[in-house]
Amino acid sequence: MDEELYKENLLDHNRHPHNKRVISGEHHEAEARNASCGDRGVLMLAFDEKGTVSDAAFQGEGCAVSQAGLSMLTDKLKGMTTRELKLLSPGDIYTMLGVQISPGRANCALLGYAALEKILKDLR
Amino acid sequence: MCGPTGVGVLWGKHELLEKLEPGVYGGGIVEKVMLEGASWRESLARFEAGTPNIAGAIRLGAAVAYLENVGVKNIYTHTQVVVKEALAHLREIPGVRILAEGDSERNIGIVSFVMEGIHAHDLAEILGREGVAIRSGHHCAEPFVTALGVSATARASFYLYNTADDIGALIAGIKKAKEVFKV
Repeated sequence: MDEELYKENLLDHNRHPHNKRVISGEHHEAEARNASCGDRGVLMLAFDEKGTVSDAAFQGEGCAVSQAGLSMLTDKLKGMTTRELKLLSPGDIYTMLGVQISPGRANCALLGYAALEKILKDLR
Repeated sequence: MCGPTGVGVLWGKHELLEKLEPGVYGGGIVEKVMLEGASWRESLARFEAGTPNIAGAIRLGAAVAYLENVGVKNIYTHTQVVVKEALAHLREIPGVRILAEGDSERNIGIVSFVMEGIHAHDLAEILGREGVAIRSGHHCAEPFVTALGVSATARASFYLYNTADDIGALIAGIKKAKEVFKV
């Protein structure tokens, strides 16, 4: 099978997720769900006094695409400023995943992004 | 039922339907309309407001005729054979946990299961590319899936058109998914 979706990097993040833990100190968090399929993710972000992401973590369960996506996203967000977070687009998430996402899997791929959008709304 | 979309059958007892108010208002449901209110036609008519799905009803009738021609009993017997074989093959795959009714005589053709280490959506995606269509997720019954203690299930449904080849394709697809996910 020509494996375009389940590339090694994505599978590795799924098997050994980065930052899958809870941030105990002060932080912002938001949950995103795909009601029809049951994917769930809680994104947690801690900010320093300058508004830069000092820590990022997640909790969740779901398919490899959604969970690897959350894992990669937490890596990516660390060190970003609030301004940079606001400039992120779904296209950046697809680039980050580095695999072909079909329309049917867009909600899985963007689960973490949906949680991030909620956090940014709360920050305002 | 091998019929078209957008049409279905609601079976209800006449005396109970008589007590129900219409859910949707429209042409053909009223007996008498006054400024203060309205009275409804007999039970069945009052639930079919407006122009009914005529083409859909005719096609559903054709589907019923087709199934009666094949024979409901024959379909049941065929499905039994297929389900029995599917259950037997699935049980041989390490990591597969069957959640469906395991007694094939009581199973009407729905085999839901989970695969250790592969989320149901990922399994469905890989199977789909192998030409095997299964359903994955909550199946519109999230509280029940939660009660089963899993986040989602995979579900293969068998009917009068399924053959042993289809089971072979399902089993081969699951094995392929296991290779991809290295479980």
